[in-house]
Amino acid sequence: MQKFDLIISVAGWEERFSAGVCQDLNRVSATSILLYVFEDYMQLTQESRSKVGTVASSMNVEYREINVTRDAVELWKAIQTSLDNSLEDKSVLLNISTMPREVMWWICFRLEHLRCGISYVYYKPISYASDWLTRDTEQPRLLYQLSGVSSLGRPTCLLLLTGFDSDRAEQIIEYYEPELIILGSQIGTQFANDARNILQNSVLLKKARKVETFQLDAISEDRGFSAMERAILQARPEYNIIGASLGPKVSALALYQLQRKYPEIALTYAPSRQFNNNYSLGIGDLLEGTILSK
Amino acid sequence: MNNHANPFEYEQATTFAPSFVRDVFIEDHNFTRFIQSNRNVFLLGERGSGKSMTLLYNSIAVQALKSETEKTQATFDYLGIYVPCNTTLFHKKEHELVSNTELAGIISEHFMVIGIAFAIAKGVGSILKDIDKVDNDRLHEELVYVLGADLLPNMPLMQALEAYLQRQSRLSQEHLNALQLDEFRRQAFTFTSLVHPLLTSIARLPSLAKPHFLILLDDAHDLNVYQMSALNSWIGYRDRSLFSFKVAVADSVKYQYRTASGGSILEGHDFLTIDLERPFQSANSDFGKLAKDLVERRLSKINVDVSAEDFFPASNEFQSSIERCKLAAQKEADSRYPDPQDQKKRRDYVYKYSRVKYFRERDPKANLPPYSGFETLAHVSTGVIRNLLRPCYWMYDAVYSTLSEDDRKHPMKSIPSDVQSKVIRAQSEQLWKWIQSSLASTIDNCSLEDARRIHRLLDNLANLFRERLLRANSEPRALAFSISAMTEDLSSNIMPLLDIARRAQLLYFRSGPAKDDGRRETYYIPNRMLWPIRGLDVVGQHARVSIQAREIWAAAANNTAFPFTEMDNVQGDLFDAEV
Repeated sequence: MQKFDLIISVAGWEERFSAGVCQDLNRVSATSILLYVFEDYMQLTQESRSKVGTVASSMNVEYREINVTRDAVELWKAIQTSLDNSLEDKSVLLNISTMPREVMWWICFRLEHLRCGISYVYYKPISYASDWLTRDTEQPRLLYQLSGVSSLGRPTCLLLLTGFDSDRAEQIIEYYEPELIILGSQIGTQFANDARNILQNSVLLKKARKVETFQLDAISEDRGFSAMERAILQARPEYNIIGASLGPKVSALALYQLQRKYPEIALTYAPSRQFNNNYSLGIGDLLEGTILSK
Repeated sequence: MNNHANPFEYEQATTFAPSFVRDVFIEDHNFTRFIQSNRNVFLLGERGSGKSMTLLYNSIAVQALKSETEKTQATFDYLGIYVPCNTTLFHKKEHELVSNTELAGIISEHFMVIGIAFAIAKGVGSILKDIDKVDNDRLHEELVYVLGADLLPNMPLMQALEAYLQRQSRLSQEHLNALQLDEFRRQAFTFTSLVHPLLTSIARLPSLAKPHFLILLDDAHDLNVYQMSALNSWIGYRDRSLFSFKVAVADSVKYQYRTASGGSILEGHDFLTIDLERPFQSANSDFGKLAKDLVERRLSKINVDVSAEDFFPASNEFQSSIERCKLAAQKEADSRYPDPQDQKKRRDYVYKYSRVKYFRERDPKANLPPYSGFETLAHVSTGVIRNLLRPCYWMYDAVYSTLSEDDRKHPMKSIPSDVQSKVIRAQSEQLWKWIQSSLASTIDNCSLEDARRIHRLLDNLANLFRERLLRANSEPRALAFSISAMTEDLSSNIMPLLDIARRAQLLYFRSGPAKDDGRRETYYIPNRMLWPIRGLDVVGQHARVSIQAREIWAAAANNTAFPFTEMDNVQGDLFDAEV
């Protein structure tokens, strides 16, 4: 049984959160578990947190919750202070199923600074909501400490991993007005990906003068890293690249790794203020891997 | 979309080559005299209103190219330094992590001034190619001394300065990303430590003869509050002999006019404002003339030498129907105002009711009217250049895609009216669909309920305007509204909605004279691309319907239809003027 000093997740109301974390507690050996709890969804996540707490307690796993708000500065500070130096050189498992990308990237960055080993697990849902997933999106912003190293005078290139939400993609494009868009889409047919991707790309393709497309496989061992790396090869010397992930969650980890390898790349995120209560249903297969070995 | 040179390209001006900007920009002499001057100027206008083109046109790169083409000697009395603010460097947010506001201000100013200095080096570098060696060496020595910059000796001076700034920029970003704030602070630049001495040194070059630098800041709404207040402080400088700022702002509501010292800069005293959105679109209006020049200039780029009206002809059926209605209106006017003295009244009546008759006499079950002709295109743009170019682009594309390889070798002579109508209707329909499906997720801080409310409000406005077009005697083609009887409570509900609609370019805010003498009021013009699919006349009148605030809110919140009464409040400004 794999051993971890800490499991980290963000409390969600979807079934895959509580079922997933409980499954983790059973299949790995963990000393403690830390949940970030968004205050706005405290009530909505009450039941699932309680389930996780009960299972953790029955297995003598230390259970801790950190309340956080959506305010970017407060959120960043909460991550810095909750992941303190006592975690140096520890091994950590991230359950990213319901973890916003911004939180995931800041946690990875902090844990990397503490020289932790980082593994991840992601539980797919059985299905997603058929209409909308998120609404009321805030203005996109570059992430603190992951905002890249820009070269003066270069135009902007947006490396955009597309997913189901073409409106969010459109918002990011409108905001940064990139000269070049490199659109990455997931290959495969899960959740009717092909049809949705085609629909989306037809809208997005009209938004910039230069558009390049590529496909990646988030389910592959490198989570699409090498496909992304190839896709930006030509653009790197000429553009300031902003990376945005609206595609499969695990590909956001690969995007993080790309930023770490090429620190000139900036990561951006546009938080949503409204989520569909039926965002996803059920718990499906898990994807797991390692981001940083100890 | 086809990969050919569509003359109506409308995407970001910043991606255009200087030669394209030179060729297609229509110089407005009213604006140019303010831009090519020592005054500080704010250019206001929503996205697509021509701000970037105006700034780019006045940049060194385009002006030098223009002189070259016109075979005139460039004088360079005014040197335009184009500084884009929608860049990754300006979007950095790490200053928010710093609780010390003074340091947050230093971080913000540093990235702004390093961007300006780089643009100066880039712009000036292009005109210093043939600089005298003695002058070059003197400037090199001065910059090394004044800026403390270790400039590389074996490359052109301005390139060496670019390299230096790149290095400093990279180091400072690395320090900031790692939150090594002491290191950052040691290397931070300010306007007075970098830009001012740089401009002073360059201005001393004998070959430039004391130029005035126009710092052309584009997309200044993307600046953070510290950068805005720093910029405002520089704008407040009394001495404007060396430099002035021309600042383009899309979101004028977001821009704050406070200075770093807590004061404010004042319009008229510290700066002038130019509004690039035009309230009138008729053929004789400034925008009407600009639109015609712009389309014809673009056509000349593809060697098409026809007028805008000939390239975008109105449908024959529509034209003959309008003529018929005009004759009928003339008869009515003659019998209504038989006195020979009433010539103006008769003319006004014909003008006002010819088009109205056309819409009123159409069979209610008939298809939508044909929307075609250059006049329609100018009006449907609501006075925003990009709104004019967008349908032109897709019309051109629609025709081009049907041409054979052989036909593509010859310039296109016109866009058939049915193609124009099809594109306009499709874009109108698309806009309504976009409000329903995408407004909430595309526009920042717009909830699903906000989007629903905006849809209901616009839908009810469409019904009201349609009702007025078909039944009202007074100003039946009014397509604008003002809000009366506003209370604090209603304002807190309504104004955020209107602001979202403004940011989504569904609604344009204008200022005009109120009924009370001397007072001005804000009035609102919905994007006219909304109206074709609702069968409205996009050629409006310069009149606005006054709607009570509680009715606006009832329409938005509860989908309550606006009451229509024959004698409702309508204000016409310039009697019978088209807008």
